[in-house]
Parts: sequence; C-alpha cells; structure tokens
Amino acid sequence: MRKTLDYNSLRSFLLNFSNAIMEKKDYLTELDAACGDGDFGVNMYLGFKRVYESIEKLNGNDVGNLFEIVGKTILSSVGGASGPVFGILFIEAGKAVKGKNEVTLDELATMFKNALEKIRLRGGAKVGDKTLIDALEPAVNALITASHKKEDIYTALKIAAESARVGSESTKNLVAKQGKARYLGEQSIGHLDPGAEVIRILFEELLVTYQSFCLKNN
Amino acid sequence: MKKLINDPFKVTVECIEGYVKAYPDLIKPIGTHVVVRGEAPIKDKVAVVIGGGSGHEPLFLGWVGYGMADAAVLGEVFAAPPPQFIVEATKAVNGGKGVVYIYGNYAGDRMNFDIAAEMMEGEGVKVESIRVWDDVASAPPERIQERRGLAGDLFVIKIAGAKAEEKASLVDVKRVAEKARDNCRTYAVGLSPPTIPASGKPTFTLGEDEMYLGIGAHGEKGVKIIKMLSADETAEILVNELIKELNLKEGDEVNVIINGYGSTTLMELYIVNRKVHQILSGLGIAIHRTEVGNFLTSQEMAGCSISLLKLDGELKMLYDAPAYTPTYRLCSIHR
Repeated sequence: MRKTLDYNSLRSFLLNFSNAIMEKKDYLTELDAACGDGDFGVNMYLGFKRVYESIEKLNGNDVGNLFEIVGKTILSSVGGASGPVFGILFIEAGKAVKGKNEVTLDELATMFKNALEKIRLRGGAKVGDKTLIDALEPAVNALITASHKKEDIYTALKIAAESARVGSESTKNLVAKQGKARYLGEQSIGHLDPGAEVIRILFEELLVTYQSFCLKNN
Repeated sequence: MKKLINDPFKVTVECIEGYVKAYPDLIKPIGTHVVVRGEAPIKDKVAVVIGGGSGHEPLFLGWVGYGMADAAVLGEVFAAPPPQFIVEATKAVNGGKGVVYIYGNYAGDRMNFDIAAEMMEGEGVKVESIRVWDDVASAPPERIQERRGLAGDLFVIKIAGAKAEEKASLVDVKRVAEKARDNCRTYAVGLSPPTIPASGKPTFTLGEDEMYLGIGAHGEKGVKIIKMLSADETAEILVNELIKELNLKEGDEVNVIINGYGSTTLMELYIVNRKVHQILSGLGIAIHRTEVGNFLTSQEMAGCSISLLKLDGELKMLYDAPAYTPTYRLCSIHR
C-alpha cells in the first residue's frame, strides 16, 4: 500500500471535492436556509467552479502550491464568512507542504492541523459552536493519532472521514454560537451546520479518491 | 417574489454599473465591486473605506463623497466582500495618512476586512478598523461586541467622514468614530421578509397579523414574534428600549434615524417619527437632528428601525458638518 499521497492523487481529490460541492449546491442551500440566509450553497458552488477551472489544466508537481491556489481562489471569490474560512483552510494546508510533490500521513496531519489553528484564530469558533470546527477538529485529531500510532494512510483516512462524519452529525443537536445563525439560539437545534457538512464531504472525498486512485494503482 | 432584475447572480455588479452612471461627477468605479470619490486619492487625508454585503442600498454605495467615505466595497447580496476588493479600494484612496475601515459587526465582514488590513499593513499602510455594533436586539449589553451593525452605520460613517475631511490624524478619526459607535443604539422591527435574488426564497415567514421584534438586517431572527401593533405602540417599545440602553435623561440631546427596510412607505416612517418625537420631548430629551428615510434597506423587507445617537458638543458639530454624496447631502449649520 502507498505510504504517501502524490501530487496527482491530491489534484484529483481536489477536483472530485469541487465536483461534490457543486453537485450538493441545493442540499447546502437548504441547510443554510434553515439557520442562515440561504446563500451558502450558491456561493460555494460559484467558488468551487472557479477552483475546478483553476486546477483542471494545472500541470505542476508542488502540492503546497496546488493547495494554495485552491485557497486563494476561494478567498478571492466566495466572500461572506465562508470565503475566508475555506480559503484559509487550503492556504494554510498548502503552506505546510510547500515544495513537496507528495505528502506522508504525518505531513497530511500537519496540513489540516495548521489549517484548523489558523481558522480558529481568525474566526474565534471552538468545538460546540455549531461550525465547521465541529467536524474539522475531530478529523484532524484522528489524523494526528493515526500518525503517532504509525497507521497506514488508508486506515488513517477511514478514521478521519468517520470522525468528520460524526462531528458534523453532532452539529444537529447544538445551539449555534457563531455567525448569523447565532441569533436563532435554541431554534438552531435540529439542523446540521452546512460548513461542517462541507468538511464531512472533504474527508469523504479524500478517502474515496485514495481508494480509487492509490489502491487501484498499487 | 417579483424582482426587476436580469441574472440573479449579477445583481451586485449590474447595480454598481448603473449607480456609477447616475453620478459621474461625484464617483468612479474601481473594478467591479468598488466605488471611490472622483478626486481620490486625496493627499494627507485619512481615507475612510466602508463596505459589506450588497442588497442594503443606499448603505455603503451611496455614502461615498465629500464629508463621508472615500470608498465603498460591496460583496454579493448579504455577503461580505472578499479581501482583494477591499485591498483594491484601500489602494485607490490611500492618501498617505492612514485608512479607517468602518463596517457592520458580522463574522464575514470581520474576517475579510481583517485579512485585507493585514495585507495593507504588510505594504506599510496604517489601517484602523471600526466595527459598528448598534443592534440592541442581538446580544445583551455585557456582550456588546457580539451585536450586529444596523443603521447606526450612518452616524459612525458621517462623523468619521467629517473628522477625516478636517484632515485630522488617524488616531483622531478612529477616536470620534468609536465615540459615535459607543453612543448609538438601534432597535428594529420586521413586518415581512427579504428575499435574496440568488436563493429566491424569503428568509423568514410571518403571519399577516404578526411582526418580528428585533429583526436583523438580513432577516436574521429577532427577539420574538409578536402580534401586529400600531405605529405608536411599536415606536414606544423600540424607543423606550433605546432610552434605557443609552441611559438618557432629561436635558440629554440626541440625533434620530427612522430607517425604512425597503418596502415600508415614507408615510409610515413619518408616523413612527411623530411618536418618537412625542416620547423624547415628553421626557425632556432634546432632538437635534432627525433623519427619516431608507438608509439601510434589506431588499424588499418591510419594517423599520429606530436609532438614537447620544450627542456631546464634538459629535454634534461633526454630524452637522457639510456632506455631499450621491444619496446623503447635508448643508452646514451650526446652531
């Protein structure tokens, strides 16, 4: 089994992830309409359409650069709170592996750990606030633990995807503490946070890409 | 919802295109999401950059000009503008004396303006940020920094703009802007919801006989849904809360904004204003200046907000200073 994720597999993950976000436009809009103002799905659709276009024909080998392009595209096109949050996620992940053309599990964990820390710093949300942090933090912790235990990448990605799913699911019973949803108070209970769902989709696509790309080519 | 638009994804850009055509003598566009004063950049003047999501016109867009802002940056409807538009605006108006960002206190605006400020600081431009948090309905007083920005934006932008026009220092412009922010409060009521063009759905639903007390400027949930009240009863609830919040007493002096949210008529707003004046006068609180009209709208939302600014000599003088922008004009008067 492969011990690293190379440039091509990560680029194909980012393309798959962009596609998944575009396909789930209406689903994300629905979630946002319940607690926010209902423009999340559309803004993410437009942002990830640009992401797709910007990396579709990209012919490089620097994983750091690849993630930074994705992040900067989101930051410069999405706006609202989602633009900075998801922009920072990919920019920081990219910075952690600048110049590398493949990443180990340890490096993958560092990418998302740095991203998590920067998002926390910028947005001020913590676990339990009903934001993407509720899915991202457990996924990052899963990657770090797996890396310490010297698990293989496939096992780590499976645990991370499951942790993100459980984390996102947990937002259903939480009271929103951030953003425009905050004003709903108790009424926000019963709805999933759309940002956390995007993180669930991200780790799901990372796993699926690994399965189809790396296992097949092994 | 019927809207006279073309492509719902292009409403912001097309709105700005049409807007700049109406005032070629006063403003010019920079790219697609920024408008600046015709004479920008003005040397040795603190530049005032304001902005946020579009869909609130004339807020932001309409207040670029003499005595107010040097630039307005718009995001898509109800969504904060990305940092590079803010950077574009900052560069276009920076006159070498520093820049002040003034915007409503929303998570998206905070993050995008902070990122832009860091980028500009990296290029050696001094930036100060003032977040307007006047909405009493959005958090208790002890957590005032979590409150949303509403029509109090007008007070803060007007006063900061007047100070900047005097060629005051960045420190002084920031100081008066914060003083205005800390002395103003707003309370709103919604009668029917706004619709974001791109989503096409109203942001909340309300019965014919109901009103939403403490509604947000994007149709975010308010304090509570109550039975529809008369203009006088509504004014009483709103203004009494503001009096309490600002601890107003006999002999104090205030400026008033009666703001319409989009589809509430001026007739209704004047009726509300009538009662607000009766209440304040009855308590011996002097009203220096009253603004009635659509300042911060929320698409076709019906409803209004009442804002009070507690005055001192400095705030009063700065508010009375002349301003000349596409949608806000004031002749100089010193009483």
